[in-house]
Amino acid sequence: MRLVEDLAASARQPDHWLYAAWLDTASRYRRHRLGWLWMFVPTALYIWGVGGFLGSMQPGLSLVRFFAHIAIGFAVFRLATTVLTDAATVFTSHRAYIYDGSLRLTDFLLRSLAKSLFYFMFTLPLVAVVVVQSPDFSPAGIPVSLAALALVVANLVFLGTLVALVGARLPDLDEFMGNATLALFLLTPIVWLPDAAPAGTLRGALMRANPFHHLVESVRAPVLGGTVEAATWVFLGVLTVAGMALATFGYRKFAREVPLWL
Amino acid sequence: MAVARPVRLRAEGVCLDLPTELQRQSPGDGRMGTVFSSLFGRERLQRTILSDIDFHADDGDRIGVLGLNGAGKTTLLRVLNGAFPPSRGRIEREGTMQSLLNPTLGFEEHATVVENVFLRGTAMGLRVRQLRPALGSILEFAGLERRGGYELHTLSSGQRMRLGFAISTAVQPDILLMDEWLSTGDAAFLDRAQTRMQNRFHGSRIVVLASHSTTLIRSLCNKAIVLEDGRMRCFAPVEDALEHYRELVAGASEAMQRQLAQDDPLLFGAGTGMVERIRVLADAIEVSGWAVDAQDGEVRTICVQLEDALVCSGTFERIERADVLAFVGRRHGRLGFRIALPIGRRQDTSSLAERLRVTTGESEDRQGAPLPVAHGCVRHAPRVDDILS
Repeated sequence: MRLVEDLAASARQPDHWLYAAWLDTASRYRRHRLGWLWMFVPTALYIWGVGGFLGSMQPGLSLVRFFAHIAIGFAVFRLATTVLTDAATVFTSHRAYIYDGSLRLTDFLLRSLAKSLFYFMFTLPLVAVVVVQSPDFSPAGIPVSLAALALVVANLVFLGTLVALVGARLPDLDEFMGNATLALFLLTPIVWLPDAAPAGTLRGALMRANPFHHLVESVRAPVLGGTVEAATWVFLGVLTVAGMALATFGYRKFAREVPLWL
Repeated sequence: MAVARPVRLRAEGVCLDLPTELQRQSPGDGRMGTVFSSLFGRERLQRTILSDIDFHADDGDRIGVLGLNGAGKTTLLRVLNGAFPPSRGRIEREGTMQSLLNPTLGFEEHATVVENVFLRGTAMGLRVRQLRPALGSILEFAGLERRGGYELHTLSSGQRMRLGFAISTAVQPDILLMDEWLSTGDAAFLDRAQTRMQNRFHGSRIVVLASHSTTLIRSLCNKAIVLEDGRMRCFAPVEDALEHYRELVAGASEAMQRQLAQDDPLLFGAGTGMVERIRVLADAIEVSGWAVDAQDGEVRTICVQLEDALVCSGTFERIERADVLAFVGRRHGRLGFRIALPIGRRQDTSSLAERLRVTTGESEDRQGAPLPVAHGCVRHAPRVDDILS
């Protein structure tokens, strides 16, 4: 089975995955009094709660600038980690569907990706509010940021495919993703500034080895008037090509086996 | 005139190996051994679940799949519907296919009834544009027209089954795969469901129906596959296949036979009876009791088996039993029996009530489920040498 062909077929018939993803998002807060307003809560909490608290501990830091930094960082980071964490169990949780034989594996991958993207979109209004207020806001950077976001999503498709294949065979991966997320959140410059880890230091080297740093930075820097290091573009280029090659190879070799592993 | 698209389903030399994980057990290693084996004793094995599956179904074929529990009937359907790719061999398929294996798949508790129609429908591979015009008739069929906006969890389990049934059978496929006949609901719904199911069955150009019920398969199918431990024992016209299945059942364990006989009285004949006394003599075991066939008449043959020792006879001693005649409401007939199974001196005669199998049937090779044995009915006659000494 070929990944690109299956993805294309799923894109041509999005009826199930798109509808199911939307329903997952829309029906989740139905029983709550505040309804879908809950979708804004985590973002608001991180921007003004965590951001306000940590920002106030650093004298001389402009809170308005810091809020915009956290907002984009948190939104992109959460998108990436939810996609990858969901991917670890996506085939196991769709076992009954897979045994039914009517859908493709990519339908389930896209369902979980689309769900995370819907959540991401619900964070955007708040992100927009703080970004526009920031003195760093650079409208000219929006197209680059959007292009970088597209690149991030493409990477998440490939990485998600790999994680899903491994997760179907090894349930351990789900545990790992859960544990890794919190550590990665602290190691990625989201609630701290990348300037704190300059190139040439051990801290800097560690930060630059973390793919999430590059994913976040490529979207965040252009729209906030910063410059994206050339190394970040190189890193993302290599990640995309390697991810695509590995996902295509892994899918061709192992997708047939997935139903048997479950 | 439109030319009908070709429809067919073929399996050529299909085998399926499945990885199975086992937790190693370590008897006798003491408590620590048990603790360690529960932590580390994981083993992965490849097991062959299906092998030598070879059949072809052409337009108009209705294929039954027969086999004991665990023979691989459901797995075969999952190979045919494309969920499990065969490890060897291949499946060829032309025509739209639908499997009615799991009618309530993909229901979402907190989504509304209408949303669930779309969710379940698209999960079956239907397009939203196909479902939109069908929505009204699906809700009407399920009797849920006024509940479209209610969340699914407010529905009773009967209403859910109706909804699942209505969606699953909303479209007519070319090839239909079924795991047992789908019927559900209260009396009023059952009629409609039966009619709908029959329409779908007869409207399909190829049907593969897995079932325990030989009656169902005989009445609906023209061919059948018999599976034994995942191996295809035969693919033949339905009457021949049923003959193979009968042989298979005759070799199955007692518990399995009893269960099958309950599901499927016609395969065995719905006879009843009771073993009332087992006497252990010096060179034989004498069994007596009563038995009637499906029409409450005299049985033709009785078989008594203790491990390798077996006797089957149509000329056993028949005994007048007024109490049994009164019980089954008949005037005539000798419904009691006495029959002896010759045994060697070395035959182990302990716990006979559990080990002895007494069956009745039309003929020697068409025996029903074992007769129940009355409690405390075993008598050991004193052996002659015991008396002399």
